[in-house]
Amino acid sequence: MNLAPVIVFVYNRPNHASQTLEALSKNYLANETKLYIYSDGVKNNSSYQDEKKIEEVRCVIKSKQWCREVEIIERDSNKGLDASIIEGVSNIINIHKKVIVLEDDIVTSKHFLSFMNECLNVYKDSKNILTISGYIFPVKYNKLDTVLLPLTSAWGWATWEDRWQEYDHSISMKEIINKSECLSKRFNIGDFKYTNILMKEGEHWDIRWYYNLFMRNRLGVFPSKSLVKNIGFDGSGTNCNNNSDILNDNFVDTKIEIIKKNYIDLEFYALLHNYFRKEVERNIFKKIKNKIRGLNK
Amino acid sequence: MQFAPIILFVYNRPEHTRLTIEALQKNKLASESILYIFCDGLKTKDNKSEALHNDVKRIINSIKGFKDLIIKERNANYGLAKSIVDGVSYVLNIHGKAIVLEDDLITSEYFLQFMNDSLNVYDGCDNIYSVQGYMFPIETNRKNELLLPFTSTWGWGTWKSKWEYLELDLAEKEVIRNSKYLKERFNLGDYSYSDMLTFENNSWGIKWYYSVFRRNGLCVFPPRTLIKNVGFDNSGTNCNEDTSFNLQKLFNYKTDVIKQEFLDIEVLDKIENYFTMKKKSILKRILEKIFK
Repeated sequence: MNLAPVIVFVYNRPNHASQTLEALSKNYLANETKLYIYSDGVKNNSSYQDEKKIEEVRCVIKSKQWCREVEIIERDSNKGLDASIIEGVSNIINIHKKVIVLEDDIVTSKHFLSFMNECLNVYKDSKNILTISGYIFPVKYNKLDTVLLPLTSAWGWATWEDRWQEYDHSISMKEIINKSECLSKRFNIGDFKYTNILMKEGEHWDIRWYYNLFMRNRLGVFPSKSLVKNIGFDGSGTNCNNNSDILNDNFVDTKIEIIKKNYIDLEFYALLHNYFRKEVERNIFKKIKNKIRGLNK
Repeated sequence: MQFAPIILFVYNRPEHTRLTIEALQKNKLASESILYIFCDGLKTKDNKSEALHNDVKRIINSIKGFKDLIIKERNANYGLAKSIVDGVSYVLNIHGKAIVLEDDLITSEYFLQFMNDSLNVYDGCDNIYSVQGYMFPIETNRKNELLLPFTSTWGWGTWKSKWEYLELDLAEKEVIRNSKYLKERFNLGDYSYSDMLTFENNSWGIKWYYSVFRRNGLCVFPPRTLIKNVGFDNSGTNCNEDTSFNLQKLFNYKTDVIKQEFLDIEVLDKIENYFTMKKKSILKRILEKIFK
């Protein structure tokens, strides 16, 4: 099997980067995989501590032979995550025609690389499949399976050169999605408001990547149980808020059988919407409870 | 260029059939297109319906103006759904693509041009499942074709490679009907396609839409309608009277097909609103006017 290379984007979190790379190196196909590590540089106005962190990261990434072959790209200056990802993915996909992408806070199951590579092969010629994802929200579903959904994810993902070339990351996004009731319902997952992210963080590559899928009415492939967990929700990251319990403390540790499909798993898609409805209901309940407690004090 | 054959389904409405054929004959590409006609067999044999059925057969047998005319008379009553599924599959197996009409659809002179151009331009596009001739009565400034996430049964075309995805068993229809979100995604505003999922008998259009919906597919539409439905007079088997569509004028100009990449979300929003507004109470509309 012609395996896809992996890119890991790191910056200033040595501890996270170490966990991410350790987990990756324990993957079944790690010793056959080529790994690229993009290490972003210091910002102009950064403190001594920041510089030290980046130095630590650069020590960590060089400390082991994580995969069959490791190529490290150290940037002299700070490019920022979005520009770094777009440039890195474009460069590597140009060489290898497909790529698997991780950020420095994505800890993978040892079955992650097998799943991503197999899906990349199975769906190579299905042009309506835009991307493969290793992450899925923790929906309660009784089957261990692959599911097709009209969604993308930025937590451990993969794509092919022709799909990436269609992605215009400077596209100006249409505000009507936010204003129109039917379009925002189509764009959001229940009460998980992608439209808010679109309005607030519209410049980020991942919301644009999702917008690209939405506008083309394409599909992504997902495992029914997550193969990654995000360890970045501790206030350490640049683009994260610590307000969520969708981090998947348990990821799947068995192999997922891949059966090629050409349709959305409607049952799973409906469950996903219910999940996010409940999520908000639970939060409201919590808020009310806190209010009552506050009053009693 | 190889033009797509036309398939026309007729039954017992001579006057509608005549109008449909006359409009089709005036199409620019009629003389270069093969016309297949499937004439369904009679359901009940009484004098009146036999007379109508015979009139239809007389009309179709005297048609001129097409590259070739192939008439298939059913010797039993198939019903519209079975007749269409069977007829479309038959012609697609021979030609690979086809344009489908029923006996109450009046076409613009540029209908065949638009259908053929679109079938050629979008041939092999993974996410495009059909080409439509009908467009809802909404105002747009669009000059070219546009992409929308649903099908229509009023004058359409497809390819063999896409028709193979047609699912007749509607395995997940209850999943759609039981999920508020999926139901809303499946319906057009208040127009409840999800209710049609229960119409087991004699419905094929909803099964085709379901098959496209499940695959997150798109369909090609003209910016203004190239089809006018004249069947809303209770003469048809599957129609109820609805006058709003009767006011639409046919678009009698050429539309350039430029191969769009994106779903037209502005037009989608307008169509959804069109179907929502229609059923809104007067009070709600007045309130909206006041608070706008």
